[in-house]
Amino acid sequence: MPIIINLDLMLAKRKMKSKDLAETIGITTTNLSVLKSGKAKAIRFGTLEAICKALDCQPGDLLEYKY
Amino acid sequence: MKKSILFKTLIDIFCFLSIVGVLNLSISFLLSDKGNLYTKSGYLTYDNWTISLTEIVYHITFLIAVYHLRKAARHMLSDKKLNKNTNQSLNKSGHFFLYSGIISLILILITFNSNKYYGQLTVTHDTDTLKPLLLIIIGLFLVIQSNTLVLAKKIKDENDLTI
Repeated sequence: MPIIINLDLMLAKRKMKSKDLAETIGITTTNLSVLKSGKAKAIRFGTLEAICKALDCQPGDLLEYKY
Repeated sequence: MKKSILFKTLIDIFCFLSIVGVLNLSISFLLSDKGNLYTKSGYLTYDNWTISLTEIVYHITFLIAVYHLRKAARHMLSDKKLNKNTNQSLNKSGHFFLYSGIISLILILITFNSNKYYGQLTVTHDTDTLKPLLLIIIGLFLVIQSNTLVLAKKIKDENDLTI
């Protein structure tokens, strides 16, 4: 899929662990891992909003389109 | 769950009775006096052979369809109803029911033709025209149902991978 999720990069920038982010936004670590690995088919606006709020970033910082 | 168990049980009984019926028919055919298959001059008529062979093909096709339906019923009893095996079995069962319906229809046409030209039918077959139609309808329904299940599985997978 040409949409790349830069969640790892943002987590590293914010020096936050995946487990902590999962707890903050209220999803399981398994689902967060699916999201990070790029296996996810879709992301809910609610989840995106929660991630942006927790990492203090914009959706564009998390999602990238590559040709 | 009770309905699934009842469905599976009925399919099992139907499958068993079908096998017994076909075996009984085959044994009866082998042991019976085959004088009816021959003309007065002692030769087997083309129509009688065609009807016999088509009848055998019809029964084999029908048995395969019931066998695949039984497999599908067995998979439906498991927790994972939307698995690949259920779809495949339903699809195969549907196709074989469809084939058996078409063969049954051909059999009726041959019987009709035989009646028309020879006046007397030597190998009998149920000429109820609703039977092949019902088989074709069931076959098409199962094929459509399996396609719907494939679509449902895709939607479920997509939903499962929505975070």
